[in-house]
Amino acid sequence: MKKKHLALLMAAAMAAATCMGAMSVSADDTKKVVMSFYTWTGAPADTQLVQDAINAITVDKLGIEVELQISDFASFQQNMTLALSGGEQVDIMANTAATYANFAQQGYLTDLNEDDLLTTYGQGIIDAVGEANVDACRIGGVLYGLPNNRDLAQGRGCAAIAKQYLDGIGYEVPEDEEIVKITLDELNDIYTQLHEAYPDKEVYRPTTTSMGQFNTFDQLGGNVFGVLLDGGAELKVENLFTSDPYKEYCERLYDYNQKGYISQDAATDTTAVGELVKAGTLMSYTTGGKPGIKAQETSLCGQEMVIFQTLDNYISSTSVASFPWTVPITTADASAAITVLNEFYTNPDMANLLAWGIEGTHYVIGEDGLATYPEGVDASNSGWNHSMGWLMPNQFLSYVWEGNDPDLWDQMREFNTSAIVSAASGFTFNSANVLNEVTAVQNIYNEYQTSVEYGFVDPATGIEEMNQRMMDAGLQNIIDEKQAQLDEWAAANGK
Amino acid sequence: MNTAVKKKPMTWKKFKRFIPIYILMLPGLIYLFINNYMPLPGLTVAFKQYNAAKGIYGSPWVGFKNFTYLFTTNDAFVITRNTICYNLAFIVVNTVMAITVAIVLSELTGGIKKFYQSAILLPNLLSSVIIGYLVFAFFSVENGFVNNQILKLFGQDPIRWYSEPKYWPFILVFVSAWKTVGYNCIIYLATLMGFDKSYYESAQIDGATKLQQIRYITLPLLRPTIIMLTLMAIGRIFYSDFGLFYQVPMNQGALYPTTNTIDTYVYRGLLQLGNISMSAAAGVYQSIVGFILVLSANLIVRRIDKDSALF
Amino acid sequence: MKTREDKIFNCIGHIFMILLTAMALIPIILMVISSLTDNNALIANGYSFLPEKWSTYAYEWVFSSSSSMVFKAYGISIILTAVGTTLSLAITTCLAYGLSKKDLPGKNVLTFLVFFTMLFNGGLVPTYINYTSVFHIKDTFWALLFPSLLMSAFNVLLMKSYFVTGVPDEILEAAYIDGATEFTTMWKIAIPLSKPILTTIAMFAGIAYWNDWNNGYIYLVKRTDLFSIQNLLNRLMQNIQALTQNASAMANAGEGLAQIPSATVRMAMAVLGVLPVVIIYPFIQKNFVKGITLGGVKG
Repeated sequence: MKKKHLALLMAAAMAAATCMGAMSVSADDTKKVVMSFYTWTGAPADTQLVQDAINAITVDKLGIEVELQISDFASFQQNMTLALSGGEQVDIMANTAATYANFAQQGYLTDLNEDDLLTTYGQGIIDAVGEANVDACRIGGVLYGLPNNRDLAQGRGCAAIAKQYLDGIGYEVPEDEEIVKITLDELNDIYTQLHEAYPDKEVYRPTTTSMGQFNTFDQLGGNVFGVLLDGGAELKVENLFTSDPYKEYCERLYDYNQKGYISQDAATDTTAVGELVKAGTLMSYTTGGKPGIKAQETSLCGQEMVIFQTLDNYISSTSVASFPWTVPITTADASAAITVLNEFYTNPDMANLLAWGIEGTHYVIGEDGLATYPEGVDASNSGWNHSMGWLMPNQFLSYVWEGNDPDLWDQMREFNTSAIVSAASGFTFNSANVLNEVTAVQNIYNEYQTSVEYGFVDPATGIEEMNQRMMDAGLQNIIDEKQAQLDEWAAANGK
Repeated sequence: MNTAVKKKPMTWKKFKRFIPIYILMLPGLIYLFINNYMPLPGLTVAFKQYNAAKGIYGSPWVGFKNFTYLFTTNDAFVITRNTICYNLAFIVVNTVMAITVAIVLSELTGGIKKFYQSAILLPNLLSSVIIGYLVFAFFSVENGFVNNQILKLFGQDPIRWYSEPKYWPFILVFVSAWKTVGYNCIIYLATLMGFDKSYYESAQIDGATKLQQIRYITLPLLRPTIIMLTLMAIGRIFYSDFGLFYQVPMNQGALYPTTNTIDTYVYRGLLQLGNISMSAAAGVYQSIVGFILVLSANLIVRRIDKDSALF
Repeated sequence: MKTREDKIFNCIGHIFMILLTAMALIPIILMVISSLTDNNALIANGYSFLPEKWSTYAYEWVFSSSSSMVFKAYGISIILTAVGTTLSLAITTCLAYGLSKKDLPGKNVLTFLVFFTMLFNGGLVPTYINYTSVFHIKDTFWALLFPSLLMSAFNVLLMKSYFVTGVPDEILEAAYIDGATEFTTMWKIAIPLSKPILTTIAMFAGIAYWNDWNNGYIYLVKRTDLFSIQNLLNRLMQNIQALTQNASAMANAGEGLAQIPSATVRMAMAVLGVLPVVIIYPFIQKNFVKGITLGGVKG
């Protein structure tokens, strides 16, 4: 009896598995290009539809078929490391801020200048993003990736405060400004009044990125071990932890903590700041300024938010090369990969397909020329709603979504060109020679970061203790190595 | 009789008898070959500077360079101490708990026994992320039950649990016991159920008390199982349950002095670097130390009690 | 015939187990209550056994955001656990039985080879390359079944030790002399005598299969429709984390994001992962023991 049951069950399972394992095979001769990128939630429901629509353009025009391979953000790096190590075909690959330099240094990526690949097949890309930005993606002089068009600058020193509480203390919010420029003292003053008026609410919640946001030093190579102070006006690598801006920042947060602005659970609680505001327990948090930020934070918090900025707009050395598009070494045909990328950078139809999906199905164009959802479609049931526009090759070619300024892309171009640019823009740090020191110092930094930077310990003692342990673990070696590489880079680039 | 057989040289006739046994063992051995032995040469990546273009086997050798980061840090002592001490504590506490629960369960009667057994198994089905939040529910500074209910009841001041490393050895050992006792006791319970009941019957006739029966019959009979499980645990003494040490303390920096282990150190250090060779090196180091320890321990066990040894 | 001592022992035993059971269940009850709490109330007041405001929204959100997938994922989990446990138990038992034979030539070497796998493995990348480029299991159901879970050296050694101590050699030898083959000796004598360990190993294998999300995470890249329930829940959880943590890197995401009850949904997903086990487990346990007994006796 029992055995029969099991046998049946096994047979059923195997049949099911065989059906599931069956794959569709395309029979035509067109070249196939596999394009990998990530969204926050993995492949949208209508990926196949959008892929077909893309192929409707590329197969006729270029003789190339595109296959979209979309992972979720959380597993993207691991998926790609495994796929590339296993030799699976990937022709075009997006990157996260953490992956580009690592992948390049471990030999996963193709040199795009080899055999004049880029100039032969990708002239449109160079025209779309500009020669200077392309060069900013070089690692050790070799071009492994192509920058995309998005907000390259970041408004530093920004705080979002919920308007209802500002009204409560009688603060006059300037109506016509998206971002209100104030000084740090004025911000502190607002916080003092907020705390007096709402003693039960948390005034401000720091996050792990707040310290970087409220400073204008340049994190070379994506870590804070050796930085350029003053936004990289000078090419001199310094120790952040003995610098004045760091000390002042920590003292300010310590002061906040002493005054009871910050929750005792701030370091432990992982709830996103937007949700804390929504739940009515938090009044203010750090954000990065850019065109459209007010609308974004407002919809995130479910109430009107006011954005204050205390520092300048700034482009750091790693900003341009944060999310480059690359061609992995497992590509079947690098020229086809560049040809397809070129199309995405230059053809508005292709850019819109990637960004918003199929017109009529996933979006429609209103009378004002802005994109919006068609009848009966919304964020929760749309089959292509990934909000990854900033990752796409050329966002500036696509439509602007409803709720934003119609000339959002022009504002963003202006925002990028008017920002202060780090003198080291385009420099990429190779950590290969100081790996031991980086792992050790990183662990020490993790150990102290929340207590020192959230103001839970007195900076007078905390910073010194952390710095001493980092120095013992080889922080100076990292700084020296960065300086050496930076000097070499400056000499090669005539800076 | 067995020893006599062993001494004799193996004849074809004797060997033939075992053929069906080998056939029975074949699927398992093939699986081990595929799952564990075929990828094993990949371990060499720990001694290489990995380059994707050349692959694992084509990358250049660099000797022990990838291992140095585990030792050059000042934290090397702390993470090694934490890893070993926690594992020793787990071996002792979890074994004692599991045996106690198994013995108690085996003596109890009635349907409720099954309920107990199922209930204490439940925590094992939860992921460490969830356990982390449940622990947070108890130890949160502002809203936690411990600060708001228990400490208040005794008129004590609230404690900032997530900034005080000294409490965490107890919390983590407790959480580990809480999570694993239901699972571990099953093994002992199964062993207990296999015992010959006649031992106990004759002991009862001789007037032995319950505690005497446990002391002189149950525990000695459990000895081989205890030794074997302990030996296996010793083999993994340089490894730690990543979720328990990373998720449960919510990755709090202030707690590192008592929560950082080799695995969490490697994870935090390499997260940004994504270096395959260095993470493989950590694994090789942990395995080899465990391997040496378990072989030594096994040798000692063989001297004392040959039947309990692993091999 | 119960002595007074027995009664005391029984009483203390019950008290001890009730305490342990309470300790196991209280956090789980908290988990269930949290999943039924209003998200904002939970964020504002923290976790509570008596929430200010109740809500089933977390469950509604899980089912509405991936409605079709939840039930399919349950189906896959159940098939996977059933098939995996059966196969695992079969090959584990056969291997362990062989290793328990005292005079089997090569026994020590084989035991060592099994034990060795507990300590050393090739690492993620080589294992992945092996399974994908030699056995091509990527994006198939087999990827959930085979890698690392099918047989654990720990279980083999556990069972081997039980066979050595719990199944007397003399009985097996006697049966063999009576003319039974090795196979029937094992099936008719050793197996029925080893019921406790068989149920234990089956349970371990079952828990391992039910709880696993790692295989799907690594091997199911395109075929997310093959996700087991743990894969699905784990992925949802990671995605919510990524969404909320990176909220400021997104434009136009606010409206979708603002609806996720991120704190309570985590608990709801944990409940969804455990619930079926709580419901089905007692039933399986009862029938499984019976099944093994029948199998052994009737052959």
